[in-house]
Amino acid sequence: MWATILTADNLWFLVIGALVSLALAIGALIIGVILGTFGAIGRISKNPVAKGLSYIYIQIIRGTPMLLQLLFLFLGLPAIYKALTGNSFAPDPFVVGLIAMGINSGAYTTELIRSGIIAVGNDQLEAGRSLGLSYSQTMRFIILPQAFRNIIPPLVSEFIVLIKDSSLVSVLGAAELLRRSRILGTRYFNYVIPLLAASALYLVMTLVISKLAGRLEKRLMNR
Amino acid sequence: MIEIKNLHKKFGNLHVLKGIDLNVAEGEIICFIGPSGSGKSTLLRCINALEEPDEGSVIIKGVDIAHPKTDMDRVRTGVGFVFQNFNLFPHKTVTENITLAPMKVLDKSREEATATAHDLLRKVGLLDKKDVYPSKLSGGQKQRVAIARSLAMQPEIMLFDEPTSALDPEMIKEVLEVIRLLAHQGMTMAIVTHEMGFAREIAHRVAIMDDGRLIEIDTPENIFTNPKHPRTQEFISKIL
Repeated sequence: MWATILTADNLWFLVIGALVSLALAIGALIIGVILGTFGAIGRISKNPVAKGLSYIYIQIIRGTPMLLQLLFLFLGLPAIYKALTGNSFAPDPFVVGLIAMGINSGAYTTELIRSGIIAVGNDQLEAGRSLGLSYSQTMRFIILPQAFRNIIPPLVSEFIVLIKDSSLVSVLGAAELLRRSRILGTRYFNYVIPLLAASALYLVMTLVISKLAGRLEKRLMNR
Repeated sequence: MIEIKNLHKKFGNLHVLKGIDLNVAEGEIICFIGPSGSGKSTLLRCINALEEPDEGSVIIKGVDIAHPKTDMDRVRTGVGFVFQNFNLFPHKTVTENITLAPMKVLDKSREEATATAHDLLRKVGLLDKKDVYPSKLSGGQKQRVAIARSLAMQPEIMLFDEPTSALDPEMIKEVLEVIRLLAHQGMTMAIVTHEMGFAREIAHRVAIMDDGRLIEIDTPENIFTNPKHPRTQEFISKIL
């Protein structure tokens, strides 16, 4: 039974799926960190517009299910676009999945980065400003590098969550790991083995990432 | 060089500075002493606009830094500030701590900024530490790097906020030595300190602060041997 299902071809089919999942997670993490950086700076800003926008962003994203956000971008947005312009377009499930995951992750990363910035403390901001650096230069060269170092452990957790959440994109039809294991399940009328194989691949990815992150952290701590 | 007029600062209900008037001439060294909570540090922080005054003006070389249109980054470039807790950048090496602002603010090349940094490190006796991270330095070494970092911006005024208060006794001397060096070069300096002997030796004038006011300002001789204000007399008798 195992041998018929887990052939080299099928294994390769699943590994490609794992790489798609990993790509989704990496892309979403990058988008999330960029959005989260702006979000965090907005949250701590004295400007009421920036503060308000960032607050609304976090509340909407954290307050609604990610699956709903995925479906809204994939099904809702094209419908709105068609109603407004009369043209229709068919979004790519991978691209929509990546953007939706990135926007979603950005809301959580905003709070992470904000806490990282607060942990750096006002002393560093004052030291930068006292040397004549502007607020944004101080943020860029002094505060944010230290804030990111503070939040490596929770950021790694976020990355692992993203790898697992990438399975939601299968709903849109993107051929990531979970969807591919279900395809195999349908083909062989056996879901147990493909799903177990997918589990193993998810575990390999998450364990390797935890290990690498642990090493990175140790190296930075030694400074 | 520094003109302070009727300076007031409040933190909520706390009235920390209650109308300070003070002029500091070019090349002058003025030491602020007084009990904790008397407003010495806040006054110093107002001179570098780390605190915004509620009332009054602080004029540095003719520029009112309390004015909302003043480009504070430009003014701060000319005024160095040394913190009680050093505030070095822990993620940067000693050299990088010193070169960052000259490269980003004064647009110096890395080579030029590094050469200046190494000159300054030699002056403060820490050239051998140029590539280490601040966590590997002692308190006195950190403070000497912090002074070098400020000097790299070629300031005309240096402000010291209790530069030796966070140091172990055996490290105080090495930091005071560096400040003494600056004094000999004619740097305009305002120093908040509890080192009375040092204030007496180095200051042209000593300012006594109490409860948000400058109650007496005079030569160190007069302040330490013949104080006039009763609060000064009380303070001096307690510490000497």
